[in-house]
Amino acid sequence: MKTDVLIIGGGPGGSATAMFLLNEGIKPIIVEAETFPRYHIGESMTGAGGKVLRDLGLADEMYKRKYPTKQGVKVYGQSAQGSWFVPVTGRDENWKLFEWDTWQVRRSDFDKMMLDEAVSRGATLIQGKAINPRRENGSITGAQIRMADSDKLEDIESQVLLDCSGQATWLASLGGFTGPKYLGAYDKQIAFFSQVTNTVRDNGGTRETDKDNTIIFYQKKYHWGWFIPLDEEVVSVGIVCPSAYFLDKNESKRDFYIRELRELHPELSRRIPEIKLVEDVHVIPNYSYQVNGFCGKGFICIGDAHRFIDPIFSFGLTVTMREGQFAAPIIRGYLEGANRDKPNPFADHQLFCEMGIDVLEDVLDSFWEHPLSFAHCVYSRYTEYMTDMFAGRIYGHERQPTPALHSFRKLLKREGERERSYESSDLYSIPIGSRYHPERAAIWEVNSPVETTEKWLGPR
Amino acid sequence: MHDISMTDEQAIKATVKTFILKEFLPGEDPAALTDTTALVTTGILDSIAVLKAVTFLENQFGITIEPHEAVVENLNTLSDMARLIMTKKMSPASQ
Repeated sequence: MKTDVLIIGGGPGGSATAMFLLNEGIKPIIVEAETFPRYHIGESMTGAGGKVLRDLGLADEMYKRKYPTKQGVKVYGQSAQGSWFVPVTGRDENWKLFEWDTWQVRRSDFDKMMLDEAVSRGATLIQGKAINPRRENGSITGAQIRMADSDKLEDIESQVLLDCSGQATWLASLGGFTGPKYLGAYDKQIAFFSQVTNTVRDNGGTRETDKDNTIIFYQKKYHWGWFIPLDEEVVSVGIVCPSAYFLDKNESKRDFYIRELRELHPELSRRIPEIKLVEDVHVIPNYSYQVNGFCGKGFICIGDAHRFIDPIFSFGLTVTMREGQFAAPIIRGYLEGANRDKPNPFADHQLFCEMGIDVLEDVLDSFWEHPLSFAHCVYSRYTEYMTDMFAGRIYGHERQPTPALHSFRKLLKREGERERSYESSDLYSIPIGSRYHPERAAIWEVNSPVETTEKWLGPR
Repeated sequence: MHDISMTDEQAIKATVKTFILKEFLPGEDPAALTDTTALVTTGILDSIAVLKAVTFLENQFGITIEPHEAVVENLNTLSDMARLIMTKKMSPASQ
């Protein structure tokens, strides 16, 4: 079997990329191992994520299916009295901010809708499991698939293979195709999540009190919870903490989760007066990683297939769908002959994506390392720029890095000598917190005497 | 250049103290809030309260506090805040 573009993974990254390719006149094959609908985490979208769906012409369908429309994110500090709110916004062609909304999605339903849509627009879906990439003369030329119906192996030849396998990081985990996969700064975190009913939601009236908003509960550094409405009844609730804290409690995951719902934050327990789970408690440990060299001859890794930092501000869906949108015209150019002779035909795309997520990483690190300064930026100093970051407008053409980001980089000591250099393609993007990084910070030790990364780094 | 004196510093502390007592610690004995009472590290003020205090300081004293200055070291006690304000007021950039 032969195709121009072979997409490994039929989640929203794969489906959205397929639809953008179809807009470019390219009919891809999508390989998916699981039968949809299936459970998945990652349920909230930013403003820029909602824009991707609007660009795909899916806004009406989203409203029709009654996905909760999110007006913004409310973050509670350590006490129930204090909170700040970031509204969902868009930018018009003159870069003027306007009020917008985006969506919360039950992923089992949303992912099926996206995949069905991609197929109805002309993508071919093959149920099966990608086993090995094909490689000829240093270029990836397709993959060997174990077909779901016959259990037979079949080769699919491609000019471009897109790894949209999500946190499975299919290509990177096989070794030797991409660059190394590094553990990220938050690799010692663990997330527990389920879905609950009978919650107390806000009563609306203003954007800030909309019943469908995301709510974040900050308990202390690295220990927090999320509250994401999935429909009129059901809310996704997650607890994230250092793995060591969970192990120290010596509880089952279910007992741990239920106790945390009661104890994490007074606002969270007020909102869940009686705990009724409608889903098992799921766990994802060590979710933070980064793959270097995630584009190369004949392949591009998209979204979580090459990098995931921290779930706190719901960037996952947004980034993966946006990377698909950015990749589609570049793939068309490649199929038409552009950059064929280069060692990495997609090097520019790779750098563009990496610089965008580096913006995100600096925002997230600032949130954890310098909560006061971060909140000061949101609350008064750089409200508009912070709105851009929360919306997921993190790329070079979206006026990044903004003055707010320069402030963060100054605080994190990532300007001047420690500035990321984007000239050395092997080194520029090793995560600052990675255990393989020469400046690995010891921030994850339990009860560490070292408070912040900067203190650990010391004066230079 | 402002004439910076001890009186200024005392006056700044008194103004900030009145604000914090009124906003965040109503009913509290004023004598319990001294110049060196740790407000942030002890959790007496949570992060949102600190931000409200920062906004108050900016408006009251006509200064702009940059993100890298909004750190615990500058905001933990009345003395820390007064020192920050004095430094800012002496710097021409913040006038």
